[in-house]
Formats: sequence, structure tokens, C-alpha cells
Amino acid sequence: MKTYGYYPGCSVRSTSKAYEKSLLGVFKALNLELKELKDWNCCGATAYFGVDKDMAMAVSGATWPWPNSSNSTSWWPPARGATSR
Amino acid sequence: MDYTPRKLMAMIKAGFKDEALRSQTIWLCSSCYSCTVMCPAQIKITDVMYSLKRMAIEERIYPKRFPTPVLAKAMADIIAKNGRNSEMGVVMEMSLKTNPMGLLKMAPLGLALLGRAGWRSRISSIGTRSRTAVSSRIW
Repeated sequence: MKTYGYYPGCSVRSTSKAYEKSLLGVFKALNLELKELKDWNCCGATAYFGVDKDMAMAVSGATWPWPNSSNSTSWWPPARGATSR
Repeated sequence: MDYTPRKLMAMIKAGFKDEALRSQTIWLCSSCYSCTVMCPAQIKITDVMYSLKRMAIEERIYPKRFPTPVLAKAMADIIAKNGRNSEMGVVMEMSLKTNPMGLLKMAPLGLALLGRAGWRSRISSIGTRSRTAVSSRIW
């Protein structure tokens, strides 16, 4: 079974809970394991860029070093904004 | 929307800075990037909108009682404090600052969401140790 690092994001844990539920279902059906990254932080997407660009970029950047600390080789963010920066 | 994006670009070119920063248009942009992808003149409209938003917040000349700038600011503050966003916190702060009576009108929807979609009243935060580590690196 292949294991992926999992970066949920703030929305997935709140109003997009249904999205996470179906996502986890799909991964289970595909026999893939998702392991949540420890202490992930905000991806810095959307509204943050309208307030402080440097902070938003820094917050975005800070999400990337985390996967290295987990054992999985690749990681998977369902939050699109996180990766488009 | 008070000015169409096309009009807004023309206003910027013509130097109507104050009017552009005061417009509601910039705060209605949800940053989907469709216009940036399709613009025949290859104007990076979304990035322009973001710049205008930042300038407006910096100069505090955004439309008064308009919820979106308040929401953006509330979100940034919560993230700077907790490392993560809390949708409940953002919505509460935005509503209390712009339209407190609106909360009553939205109450039935809020309650329905509580049961189904899963509002989280607790503000989620990254671990203290990581927060310190991240803080020392960025904020």
C-alpha cells in the first residue's frame, strides 16, 4: 500500500468537511493510505494575498518543508490554493 | 459592482487611483484567475486586483461597512495568531464589525450548518512547539 503525506488545509476541516469525507473514501477505494502531516499550517491562499503579500508567501512557503519530516515520499494537498502559489 | 474590470483597468491607466481603491469591484474578485487566463491583452487582472486590495488596506480607504476587506483582515490576524484559519472566527468577526443584525438573519442557516456541514467552534491551532518554530522563521 502506497502512503502519501496528507495536507488537509483549514477549509477541509471546516465548511468543506464533506469534500474530505469523499476524498478519504476515494483513497480508501484505491487502496492508498493518507498520513496527515504533523502540525501543518495555513497555505496562505486567497484572502491573505489581499492583506500582506510577504506574509502570504512566507506562510505558503512554510507548508513545504513539513513533508520532508514525514516518512512518505510524496504528499497530497486537496486545497488547491496551497499549490498554485 | 460599481465598475467593470475593463473600466477599472482603464481608470488605473488614466490615474484615477482614489476611485479605483474605493471601488467595490476589487473586493468582489474571488481570485479564480479565469480573466487572467483569458485576457486578450494578457493583463494579469487577478494580481492587479490583489495589489489594489493591499493598497486599499494600507491606505485604509476601502468602502466602509463592506464586509470583504474586514474578512480579509480578520483572516490574516487569526492566521498570524494560530497558524491556521478558523472560518467560524472569521465569519463572527466580519459580521460583528459590519452587520451584527445580519447574524440573526443568518442564524437558521448557521444552525443547519452546525448539524450538517460541520462548523467548528473551536479555533484549530498548530502545536505550540511548531508554532514557536514557525514563528521564529516567519512571524
